[in-house]
This record gives sequence, structure tokens and C-alpha cells, in this order.
Amino acid sequence: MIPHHHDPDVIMALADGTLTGDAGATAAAEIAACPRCAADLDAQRRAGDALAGLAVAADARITELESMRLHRAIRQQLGHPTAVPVRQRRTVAAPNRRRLNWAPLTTAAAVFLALVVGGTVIRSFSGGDDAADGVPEAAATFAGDAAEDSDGQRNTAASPASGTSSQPETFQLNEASTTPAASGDTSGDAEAVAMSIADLTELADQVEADLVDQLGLTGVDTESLLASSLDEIGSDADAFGEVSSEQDCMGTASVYLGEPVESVVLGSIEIEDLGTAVVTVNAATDGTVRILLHDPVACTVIEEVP
Amino acid sequence: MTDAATDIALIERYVAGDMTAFDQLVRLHQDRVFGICLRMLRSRDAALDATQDTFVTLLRKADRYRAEAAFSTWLYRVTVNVCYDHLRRRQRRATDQLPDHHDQPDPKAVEALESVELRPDVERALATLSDDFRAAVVLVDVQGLSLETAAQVLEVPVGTVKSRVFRGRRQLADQLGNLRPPPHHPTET
Repeated sequence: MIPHHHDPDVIMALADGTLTGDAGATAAAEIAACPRCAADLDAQRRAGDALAGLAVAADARITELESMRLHRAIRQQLGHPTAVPVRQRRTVAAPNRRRLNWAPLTTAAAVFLALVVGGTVIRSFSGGDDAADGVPEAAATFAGDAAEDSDGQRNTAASPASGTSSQPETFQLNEASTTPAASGDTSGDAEAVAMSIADLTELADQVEADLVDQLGLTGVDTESLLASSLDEIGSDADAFGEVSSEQDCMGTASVYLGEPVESVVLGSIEIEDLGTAVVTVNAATDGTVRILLHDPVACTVIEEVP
Repeated sequence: MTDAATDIALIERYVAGDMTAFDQLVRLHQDRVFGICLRMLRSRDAALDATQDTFVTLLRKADRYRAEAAFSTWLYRVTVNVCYDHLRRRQRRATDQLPDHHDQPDPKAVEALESVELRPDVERALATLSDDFRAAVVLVDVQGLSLETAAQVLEVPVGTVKSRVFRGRRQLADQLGNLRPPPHHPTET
């Protein structure tokens, strides 16, 4: 009888596919002729295949929420900055710990975006009275457009209001809003902004009611949010805390979505078990609106709607 | 696997105080580290804790990293050692109960568990292996490391890794019921 040496190295090499060619064929023939060796080779292959399947299992990946917590925890342990004090905090009463229904918030956010962007466009007008006269109509048009487009398609931010003139095709929200309102030339604009807010109070009340009824959000002062958004976005880093995380998040939104977007900070909210999150509303040039929920520390996106 | 030069550049930037480098470094490697911890510790919460410990350890020592070994090798080594620490701590506890985790589980993680084609038999079989065997098969067969790299990570000879992987797979197959009783071996001459 020909002596046969049971060689785990050879068996393993065959199982892993590293023993090939003539040497591999010879070894395979020898192993096939030995029941025990063949059984070992079979076991090596089956176990290897089973283990390889674990590598691609979905559960082996960290979710975005887990990643946010991980980053925060690592920073805390290393003594790096973590939570950023934010100016606006809204407490979300998570009803029955269900996932938030973002649909009504999408509508509300689209309205906010329309109001903010509309107000900014109006402020960029050089004419005083004409602009002021045109404000309520323009703002109402924006709001109306937002309200009608309830099928998920928003045609608000990118579309200048009808009845206005000299509309820039695209407008830089941050640049426009960094212009302080307290100057002689812009007094008409400030007045126009104030008028637009006053005229949209009713709409703001409706939106606030939706937020309370459908999402359980409480303490959301929509009028103040509108006023602060119109006057202060991008203009006062201190207002947004130690690091302008909201501004960073606005910039991050464009990178994340892969296209230039008009981004507005809806606010920073506290969500149970999630912590502080910054909410931005982002309108693409095609008019679609997306809401992004950001980790305020790294401004990474942890949720998007739709 | 990320580019080695990228890893070194990120480490250097982090040491210089660039926090964005910190975020990038963690994001680039977190899934890999987590995957090892998950298979080693068999608990998502424990794996997340171990992942955190791994990066904290790594980043605390970042200024001492000299690129003598590949960053990935160092990363894996720290990960495995952290997992071993967790396993030892677990064994020292009176009961085998894992500590409560204060964070609510992410619904998306639960969905991932429910949606993937589970191989609970493989997971259970993996759990029956000794820590050393499990580490070896996780690095080689789950993470896809070469035997040589796994040997560097585990700081043992290549032959030892080979033996652990071979025997670990055999035990695994035995647990999975794929190994029939070995027939008589015709070795006599």
C-alpha cells in the first residue's frame, strides 16, 4: 500500500484555492482517494463558505445612528468637543416611541423654505415701495405653491414668485442673508421682511398646528423661527453656538446630495434617544425638497426625507 | 481596504489637530472593526462598545504610530486585543449576562437583522469555538486577511494561524453537521 500522509496544509491550500495547476491536480487526486482527507477537504470548504457569508451580512454594518453615537462617544472619551450648544432647541415628544412620520414635516419644511427663500429674494430687490407692495403677493404665491404641491414635488425655492421682476436665476441664500438689515438702503427691505412675516402669520399658525397634531412637536414658535431664519441665517455665528454647526450642515447638505442646493436650517431639535440633531431643508434646482437630519458635531447626515 | 497612504495622511492630520481627519478615519474603518467585534463577541451592544474602545485606544496612541507596520495591521491587532479584553471581562463576571446598554437599539439595525438571510446556525457554531480559533477564522475567513497578515495581527507564527484556522473550520463544520464520522485512514504501510 502506498503510504499516504495526511497533510492539513495541502488540504487547506486546496480548499482556499491557493494550490493549483499540476500540483493541485495531483494533490486533489490523492485526497480524493482518501476518504478521511476528502471529508476534511469538504469540511474546510463548507466552513469557509459559511464564514465568508458573514462578512457581507447586513447586520455586520454600523447604522448611521449607531455611527453618530459612536463618534460622539469616542470624542467624549478623547476629550474632544462633542455637543454644540445650539440656539434653538425644540423638544420632541416622541409619541409611543414610533418612528416619526416625516410626511407632514416635509410639507411644513417646504413652506418654511418657501417663506425664507421668498423673503430673501424680496430683500434683494433694489426698489423700495415696489418691492414692499409686492411682498405679500410674492410671499403668498410661494406659500400657495408649497401648499398645492402635496404629492411630494415641491416647486418652491427654485421658482421665483410670479408678478416679480429682475429675479436672479439662482440666488445665494447665505450671501443674501448675511447682509445686515440695519442700514439705510435696506430699511425698505427690512420693512418688506416684517410685512411678509405679518402676512404669513396665519399660515405659520396652520403649520404649527400640523406639527403639534401630527408629530407631537411642542413649543415650536414658528413665527420666531421664520423671523430668525430670515434675519440671521449665516450672519451671526454666535447665534448658532460655539461652532457654526448649522452653517456647516448647510454646506454638508450640498455635498451629501451631490448637487447645489438652497439650504435652510429649520432648527435644532432634541429627539429622545437621539440627542440633538440639526434639521435642514434643502431645495434642489429642480424644485424638489429634501429634509436632512444632521449630527451637529460632525454634520454628517443621519436621516433624509424622502 | 483603504489606501495605506490615505490612512497615514489622516493619522498625521489628526495628530496635528484636524478633527475632520478623526471623523474620516473612524468612518473609513468603523465597519471593518465592528464586523470583527460582532463575530468575536456575538453581541451588537458589546461589539459597539468594543469598536469604541478600539478607536479610543488607536487614537490615543496615534502620535506614536510610526508606519513600521501597515495601519490596517495595527488596527486589526488593537481590535482583536480589545475583543479579548471584553471576553476576559465577560468570563470574570458571575453570570454570562451582558451589561445593559442605555441606548435604545437603532431600528435600522433591527431591520438589518430581520432582512438579511440569517445563518443562525453559523453564528451558533462560531460561538462554540475557543477565542483563539474564533479570532483566527474571523480574521481569515470573515475579514479575508491573508494568513501572513493574520499572523502579524495575532502576533503568532503563520503556522499557528494555519493550524487554528484549519481546526476552527473543522470544528465549525462538525457543529454544522457537515462532517461525517472520519472513516478508517489507510496510513499503515
